[in-house]
Amino acid sequence: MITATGVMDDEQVYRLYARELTEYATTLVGPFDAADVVTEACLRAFGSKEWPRVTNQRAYLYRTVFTVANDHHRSTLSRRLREIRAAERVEVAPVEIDVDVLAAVERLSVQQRAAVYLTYWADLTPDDVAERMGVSVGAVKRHLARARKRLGEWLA
Amino acid sequence: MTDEKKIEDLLARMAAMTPQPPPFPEETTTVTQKTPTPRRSPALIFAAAAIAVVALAVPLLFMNGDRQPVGSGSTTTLPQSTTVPEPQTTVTTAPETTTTVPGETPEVLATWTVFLAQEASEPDGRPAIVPYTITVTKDSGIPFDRVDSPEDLLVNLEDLEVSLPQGYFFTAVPDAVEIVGKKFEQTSGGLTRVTLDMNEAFLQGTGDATRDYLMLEQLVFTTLQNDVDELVFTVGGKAVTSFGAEGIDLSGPLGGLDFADRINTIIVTQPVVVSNGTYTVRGIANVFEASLAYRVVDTDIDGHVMATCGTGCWGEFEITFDAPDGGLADGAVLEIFVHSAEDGRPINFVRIPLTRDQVFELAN
Repeated sequence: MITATGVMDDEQVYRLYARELTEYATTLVGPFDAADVVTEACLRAFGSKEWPRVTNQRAYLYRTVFTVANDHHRSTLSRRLREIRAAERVEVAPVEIDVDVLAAVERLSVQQRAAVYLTYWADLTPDDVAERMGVSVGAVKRHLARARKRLGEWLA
Repeated sequence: MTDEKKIEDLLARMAAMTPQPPPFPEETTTVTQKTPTPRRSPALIFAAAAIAVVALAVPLLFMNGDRQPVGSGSTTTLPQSTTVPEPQTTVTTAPETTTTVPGETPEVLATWTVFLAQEASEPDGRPAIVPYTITVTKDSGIPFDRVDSPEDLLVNLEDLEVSLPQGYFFTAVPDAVEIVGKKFEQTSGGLTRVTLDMNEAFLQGTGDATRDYLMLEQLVFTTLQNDVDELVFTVGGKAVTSFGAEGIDLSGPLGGLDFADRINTIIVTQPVVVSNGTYTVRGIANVFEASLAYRVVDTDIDGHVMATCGTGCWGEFEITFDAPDGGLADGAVLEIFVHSAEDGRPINFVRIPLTRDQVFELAN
């Protein structure tokens, strides 16, 4: 709901950005844990002391999703991938899961995934990518360069 | 198709797997904002989740394929539910992590556990490896964007100017050694394999046979965390058939125990945790009669524990002790050692600092 002051409440902010944050989280941690990451990130953001003073809520939420996803690290996706492959052997894998894509993305660090997604999917400028990741523009460029290198087989 | 188009295609296929957004977390917000005391360091909170994963993954780490299992029976059960921690589980971090929002100080960017080295405690002893947790915050001076993983951090400790506690730790990995490439893959046996492509300097090792094994075990244990099962070293994409002073053949995949007999055979495999004032230390050992002793220096805390196997085989051990009234001093040191089979003197010490940044408090 829009409040009397014209400022969106937390729920409205959430409804506005939940879908794109979930998509972003999917790239960072995979489809299995994306919802948890988004929930955790929003809990952190809405519960923070800074939140009432945040001017760019969207960028702040992206940054928090990135922070939470970073904590997930590589283990979860790796394990899930293994579980899926094991499941495939008994032909019960969900058809909507693209194992090849997960395997390709798994080669990238969370930072690299974030840089790639925000650059190539969200079409943000390096400055905006840096803001949403909370890193320098130089770091964004390094992440992109490394990501391209690690995606070598996929790009070949 | 250009690289950009291929990346966009990859992202499109990833986006196609996006699940439905979760519901607005209204109900749990109330719980989250409660933030009860005692106050916990964000680093510890972040690490707790990592520890939970490590704790569940360690048994997996040592039962790869035809490798020698650790101990007798405890490695036959794989952890199955490390995925979505429920809010009420003991290591759940959500209720507390509202303190680690971007912009607050210190903002934890990452918490990595690397395995460092300790000198042998006696002239004829062997050096040890021990887990050491490095918390990267905005104020830590460590350029977070330059490290992607614990092993990246381990080989760049000097470059990144990571300061280690004096007297306890060092790294046997020469500064010239670098990881130039990394590949993850699933083996036909369903294992997660990491291939680290190293630079030429790796092949030279440390110049000393014992230190070579120490260096290898630092790299292996640091890399084989979480769900990584085995490690392969390559140089220039080619298998390493001769490494270091003894020309060690590293052409096959490595688990945790391939060279562990060449260093101190007491290995603490994960950071120390404390819950309700009870400290827990877990590790593996291959020691005489499976008997290990421990003590916390300058306290009356001491005791003995048995590993699940010994005298020629590796077993798991767990040490627990309660903090004294008033808690342990921040500089307290845990020593784990064995008594010599020849004369009973304490030997082969592994020393673990129980400092605040190295002990992780689990939620009750």
